[in-house]
Amino acid sequence: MVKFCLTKEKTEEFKKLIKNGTLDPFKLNAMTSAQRRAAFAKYFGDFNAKHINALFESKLLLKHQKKGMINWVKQVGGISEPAKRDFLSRIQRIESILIPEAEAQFLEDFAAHRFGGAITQAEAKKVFEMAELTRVKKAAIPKDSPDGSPEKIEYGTAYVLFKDYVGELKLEKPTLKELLRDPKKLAIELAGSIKGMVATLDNSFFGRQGIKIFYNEPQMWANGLIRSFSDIGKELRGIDAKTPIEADVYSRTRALDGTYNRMGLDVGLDFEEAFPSALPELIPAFGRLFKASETAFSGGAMRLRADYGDKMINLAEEQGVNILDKLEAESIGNLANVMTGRGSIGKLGAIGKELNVILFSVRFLASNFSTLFKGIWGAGKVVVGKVNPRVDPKFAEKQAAKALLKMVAGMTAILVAYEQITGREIEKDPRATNFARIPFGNRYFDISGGVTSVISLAVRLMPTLHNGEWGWWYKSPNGDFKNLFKPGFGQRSVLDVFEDYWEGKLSPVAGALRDIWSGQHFDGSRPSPKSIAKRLITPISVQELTDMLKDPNSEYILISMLLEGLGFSMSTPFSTNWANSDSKEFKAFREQVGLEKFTEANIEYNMIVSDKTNAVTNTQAYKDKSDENKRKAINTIRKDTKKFIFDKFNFTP
Amino acid sequence: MPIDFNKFLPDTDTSSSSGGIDFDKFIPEERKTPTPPSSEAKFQESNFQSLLSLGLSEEDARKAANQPVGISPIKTRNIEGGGQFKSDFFEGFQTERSGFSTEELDLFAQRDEVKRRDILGTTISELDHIIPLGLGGTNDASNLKTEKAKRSVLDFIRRTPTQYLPQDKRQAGNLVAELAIIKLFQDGDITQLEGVKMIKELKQDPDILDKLEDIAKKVDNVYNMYTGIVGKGVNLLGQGVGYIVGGSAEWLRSSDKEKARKQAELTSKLTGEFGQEVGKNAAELAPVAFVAPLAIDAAIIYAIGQDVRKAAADAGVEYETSQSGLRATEAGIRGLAAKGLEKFGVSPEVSQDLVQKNPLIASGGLFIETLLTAWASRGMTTRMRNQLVNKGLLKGEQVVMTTQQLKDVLKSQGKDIPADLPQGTWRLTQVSPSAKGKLVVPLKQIGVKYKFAEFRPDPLLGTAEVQLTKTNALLAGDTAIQTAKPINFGKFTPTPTIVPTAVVAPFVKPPVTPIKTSTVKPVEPVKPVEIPRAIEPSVVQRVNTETGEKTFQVIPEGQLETFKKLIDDSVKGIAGKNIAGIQTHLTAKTPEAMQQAGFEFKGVAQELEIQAQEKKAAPKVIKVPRSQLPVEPQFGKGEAKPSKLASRLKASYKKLSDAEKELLPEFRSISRESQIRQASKFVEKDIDRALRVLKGQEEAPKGLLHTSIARALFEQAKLKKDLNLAIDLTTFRATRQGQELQMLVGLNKDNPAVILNRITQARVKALTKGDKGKLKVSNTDRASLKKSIKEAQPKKDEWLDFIKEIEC
Repeated sequence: MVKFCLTKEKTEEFKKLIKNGTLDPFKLNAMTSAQRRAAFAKYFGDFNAKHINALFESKLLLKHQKKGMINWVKQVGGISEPAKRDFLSRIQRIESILIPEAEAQFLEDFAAHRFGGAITQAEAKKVFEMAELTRVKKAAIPKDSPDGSPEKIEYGTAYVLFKDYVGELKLEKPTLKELLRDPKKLAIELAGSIKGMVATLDNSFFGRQGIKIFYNEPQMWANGLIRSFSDIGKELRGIDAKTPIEADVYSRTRALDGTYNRMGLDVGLDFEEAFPSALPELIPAFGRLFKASETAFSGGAMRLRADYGDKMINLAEEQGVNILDKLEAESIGNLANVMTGRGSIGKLGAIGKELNVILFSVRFLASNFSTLFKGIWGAGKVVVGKVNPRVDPKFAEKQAAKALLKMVAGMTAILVAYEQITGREIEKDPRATNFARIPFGNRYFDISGGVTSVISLAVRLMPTLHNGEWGWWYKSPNGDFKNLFKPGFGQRSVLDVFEDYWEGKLSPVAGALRDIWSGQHFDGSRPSPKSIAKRLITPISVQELTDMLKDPNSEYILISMLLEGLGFSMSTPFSTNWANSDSKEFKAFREQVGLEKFTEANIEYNMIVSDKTNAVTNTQAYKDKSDENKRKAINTIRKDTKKFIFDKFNFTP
Repeated sequence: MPIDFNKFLPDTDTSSSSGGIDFDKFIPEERKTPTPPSSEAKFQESNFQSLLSLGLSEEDARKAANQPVGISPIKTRNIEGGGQFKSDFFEGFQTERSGFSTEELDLFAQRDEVKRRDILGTTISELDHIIPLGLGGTNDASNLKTEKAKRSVLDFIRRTPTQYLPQDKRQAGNLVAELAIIKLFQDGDITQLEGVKMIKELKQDPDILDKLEDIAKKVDNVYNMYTGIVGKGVNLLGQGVGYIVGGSAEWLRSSDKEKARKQAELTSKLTGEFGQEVGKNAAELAPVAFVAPLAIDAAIIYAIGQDVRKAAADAGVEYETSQSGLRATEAGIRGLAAKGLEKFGVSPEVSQDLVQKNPLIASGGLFIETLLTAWASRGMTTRMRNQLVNKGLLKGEQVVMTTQQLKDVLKSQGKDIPADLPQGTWRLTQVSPSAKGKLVVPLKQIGVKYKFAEFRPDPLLGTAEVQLTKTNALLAGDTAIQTAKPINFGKFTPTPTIVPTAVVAPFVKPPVTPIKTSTVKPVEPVKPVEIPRAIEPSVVQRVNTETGEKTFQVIPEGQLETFKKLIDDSVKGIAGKNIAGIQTHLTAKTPEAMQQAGFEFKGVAQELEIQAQEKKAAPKVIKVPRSQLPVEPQFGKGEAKPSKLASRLKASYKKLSDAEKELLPEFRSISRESQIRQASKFVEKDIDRALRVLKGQEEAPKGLLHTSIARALFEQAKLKKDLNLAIDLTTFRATRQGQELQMLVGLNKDNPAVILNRITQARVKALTKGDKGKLKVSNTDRASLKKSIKEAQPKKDEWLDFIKEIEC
């Protein structure tokens, strides 16, 4: 650019014009660039005017505008000191004058700084550095480097740290202050926290969500289980166990080449549905236990999902499946998700967070439905495909069928072996409450991760045959069948069974509402603020332990708790709580003997009834009875026992 | 991100005779000895002890001992009172001494019935290790013996303490031979056993071998204890598997429950025994598992299992006779829980009562007991490790070496020296050979292991990360490497009669006194880039700088040298410069790589086609004013070669998946070569203007799409690591172009500028919760800004100053 200057005569003229007010500096300052140029052109010609104006703007006006802006920023409130400093440095970098069109932009930028929405120089620098480090680490991975190699782990760690930092910068996690200001968010966060609190203090992923892998890839499952304990240990000692898991998964070959993305494998989740909030981590001491449990769950899920996903995608590739095809890859990814307790909920995914407030584990539930129905569908296609070549099942469909078959075979083997070795009978009728559960002490353990309850629901909702009669049959724990289509007064109907299933899947918060509305808890006791609060913050494992402690018939409490802690859900045995009864008889009994003896009597009653029922229901004679007679027999036991107890306490109704 | 420094170190124990035993695992960090003191420090400390024993005060002794010493191995010292002593100081392979107090030394002397001092009070004996420490001996009293020195009358008069006598006089005159034996062992010429046998002969001590065997036995015991534990841990696992498998198989075969139960028990026993053997063998083969959590857990499980069994028996339920294993287990667990409570001071009766009545308390008790068992198991591990260290059978010492020394170590082991080995100082733990190996294998056959402890980078080169980043960038070699010499291709080059100055200029040395011009940037002399040996150019590229036409031809295999000969040595410079309007060079890329990069080939280059121009004398140098030199130093005018930004931009389009391309409705337009070039040029020329265009404050140049400019800006920010530009790109959300930009940020996710944009979007969303109004500034603020700017505007005086400033 050629240096411009005005001759002495012209500058003298210019000064004169300024001094005598022909050119008013204030008006000139306020003019637009074009107006100012036109004003100069009048006296100095177009060429000179253009240069004078340009020099004025760059040398004088810009400097003063910046000064004005700086003064303004210093005066205006509501902006933090660091943000103010950052914004001031931005002003210093401005190289062109603030024209009206840019003013809005300037103000918006200021507003972003004021609200903490703007990126600061330090943040940008760190992002650039971390991006570069991640790139370098990725480039340093040798070709054919195996998964888990030091180079890959180094890259994975850099990537996770970078990802976490970017996550932090996004400010997506609401602060406590924000939560308090936003009731909806607060409600969701609280519901999530409560769910997390209830789901914690165990290592339940492997016995529930991950149990399907046990039947299909036992070694993979066992490896995951063992490592999860190691993760718990690390977290309890305050060592971050999650980052190494993430680093391992994100640096795997299939993650690097984009296969996981194509598959839609759920390995990049912020939260698993059982632990939707990290708030409980803030609770002193308990927070660490919570974090350990959460890491065991989320880390275990992530690792197992990636392991199984890798296995499936490699197998598909070996079999010549085009894994670059999005549909093929997605179906395999979906299978891996389902097998690790994360089923697809389709369009409901858009309201997943809200749905999570209502249901305990909607995706886990969906995975159980998928395991069953997609497995049957796949098996059907495989069979039909043998006859009709036009029916060609997809790789994932075949694998789903295989997975279901393996699960059924595995469960059958375990159940039958258990039955034969221990001599305790396994319930084989899917209409029964304890279908395919392992009897242990006076409780029944589910080794299917909830799949059998889906089968039971399906079977109870369709007409079936019992003793030659069609009906919607349900088999009680005492072995008698009830036709839900012809419910007696106060008895359950088909709809009740359907509703009960879903009510049982409610989240703790929704469950509390259910109990309030129905006027009773699951055990029949009346809801009170204390009882509701207790249920909302007590981990399931502790609730189960408390129940077992209260139950005099409980056996093998410690082993049972270990199983429960590993995710093998146990059923609660029948018991009657007289305190919940409104009958005059019990009220009178309580008045006569006092609360302590009343409770003692109730416990003894339950113990005797349970013992006698177990003894009777296992006899062949009982099994041969008609349903009506079975019910009568059980009622007789209860009636006789009550009489015995009343006599013992010298009470005459 | 921590760097795995261990990858740079020499391999672990290379000896097969040591069975790959990683004894380093046994050494707890706190037990690893610090860096051995220097010879000087050793000497001073030794003197200090000696002076102390002479009766000097601690202060005086320290003062005298710390006097500077010469380099002579014979150390002479004058001490107060006219005495003098000298020492044949040994600094080769003497192991570190443990300090014994004067009282202890007196006691040993008393035990051994040897005098410690003569009548003048001079020390005449010293405590000797029967089996020298250097041969694996210990500081146990049984291994120590007070030995008199062989002193002369002169020594008596000079009052030379025994420690400072020549070695052939010390320790009954055995020291020289003893040290020689140790050296033989240290050098790996003899085994430890052989060494000890020789010492035995030297010292005529018949018990010495027994003592050594005792040590060996202890090692064996410790080792066997470990393998036994692992074995028993696996035994338990085996029992469980056997029970299920055996029982199920029998039941499936015979359908007889009783038989199945018996078979289950039998198989359980067999598989348990089998498992035990497997575990034991595995432990022997891979003792690294000793510290692996799995092995410890196995030990814990075993210990707890045994405790449960015992507790059940105490409670009167025998596993072997119990009808229900579970009932026995439950009884055992409760018993164990009671023991846990007892550890907290609860009486046995109350404990039993509590655990029977209240399972919650039982859980607590069990937890305590289990925790203690776990700690005990871990404690046992520590004890075992300590035992090995204490017995002097294992040694971990820290050494400091420079990167060059580390390289020498690697070289001596025949290892490859990592290319990215950072420069600096290394502190390493050097783990000495395994205890067992040391006993029976000459050290020469056993490798030494190094474990990383600390790295201090060379302050001039930056941290290890910085060094690695630089090295990796260099190794990645993604920059185009060009030949150092240009080629003249006779047939294609129009034979110019007059060489245009603009063409010659780049190859001309810059004038010593450049003509002063204010607007033209001086041309930087281009440094020739050497082709790494590993990469052979095999493609000829020719660009007509006037038409921009570019052709590539493949050099036939084996013809590279022929083509290299065509290089006109008379012209100095770098390929890629214009020669008579044609820009030519050999590329370092393979034809495949070039083709992948989107270049088109026009066949194989024929030697005949490209006859070398007759070599001429160096062209006449025509001096030209700098103002006439081309402004763009890299590739000259006419954009014969796309700029780096254009190449990056083009590559970024290629990276897009089909789905991502769909997100860009203008993809076809913006990915055109001409659009890429135009956008790159526009952005490179004036970033501010490009930003103004995106902000809607200025019109885009004709034919140039906003999307093209935006993408070029993002790439430019990444390429130049331009933080300010990256931040600027995050600021115009409200404009229409800003909205369009939102679409772009979903692409090229590894671009940090794009990442920053996504962060801003997320932040704004999180902060405004969909209410964009929150990002608006109030009218009051708006007005106050205007007012503030108005107030700061130049006054009349400043205008007058400005006018003065622009006066010619």
